Amino acid sequence: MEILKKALAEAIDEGLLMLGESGRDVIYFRLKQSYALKKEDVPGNPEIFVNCLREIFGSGAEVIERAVIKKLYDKLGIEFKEKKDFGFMEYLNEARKALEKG
Amino acid sequence: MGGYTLILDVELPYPSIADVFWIGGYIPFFVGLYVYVKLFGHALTKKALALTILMAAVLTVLVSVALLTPVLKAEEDLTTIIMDFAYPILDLALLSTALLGLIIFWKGKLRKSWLLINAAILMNVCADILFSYTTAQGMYYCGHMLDVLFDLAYLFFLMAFYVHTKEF
Repeated sequence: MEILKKALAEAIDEGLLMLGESGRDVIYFRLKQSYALKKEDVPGNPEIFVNCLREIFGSGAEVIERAVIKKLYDKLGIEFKEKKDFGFMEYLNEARKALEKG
Repeated sequence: MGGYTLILDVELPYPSIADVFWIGGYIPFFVGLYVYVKLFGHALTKKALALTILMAAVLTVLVSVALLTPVLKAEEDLTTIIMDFAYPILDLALLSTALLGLIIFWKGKLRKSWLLINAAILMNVCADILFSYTTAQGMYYCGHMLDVLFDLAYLFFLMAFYVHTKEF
């Protein structure tokens, strides 16, 4: 699933840009400082990434998560469809399944 | 304001050229809040949005009704009457936008900062209502006790920006 990890790393990097470059840097700094998670390790630990966002932004984190997921689906060539009660991890699992199916 | 009292040594006129800047200041303030909140707007439920709009509308009506009698009784000129209503109503526009921010970030660390922003704007709402009322009654003077509310608002804003840079 290296393709997924690479695409997720790029999607996170681009999705976080909605906060501006300095905002994105703050998130990576927080991940490193509070969760000992380096930028390159974020795609392997998406739960921690989501927790970090929710800890800072509360409900506002959903908007950033959605931006990242949309970028990810775009990169993987999967059509993004809004689903009720679907969060970041559910969308990510669905992308993983879609890749496995080929 | 200080220029009139400290340099020119004259009674503070109202409205004055300073009011152009005070009123003008609401534009970047509102735009800043709106852009920030709009960025995260999808996190708001329709119910929260509707309740906030309703609250803003009700407060605007209540404040306008409360000020109507004293302001009209004072027989001020049209510009003064407009200013008397403009400050509290513009404050309420800011408050409703800031309240949306507080709802969005309530469960996050940014809550503290948005609580302080809301507290600061609320101070301004109270201060401006009292300012309009005391001005209409001819009771306001530069250095009136109600000015403390404006100072408190500045203090809360300062704390909000400090907490925001600390938490984010």
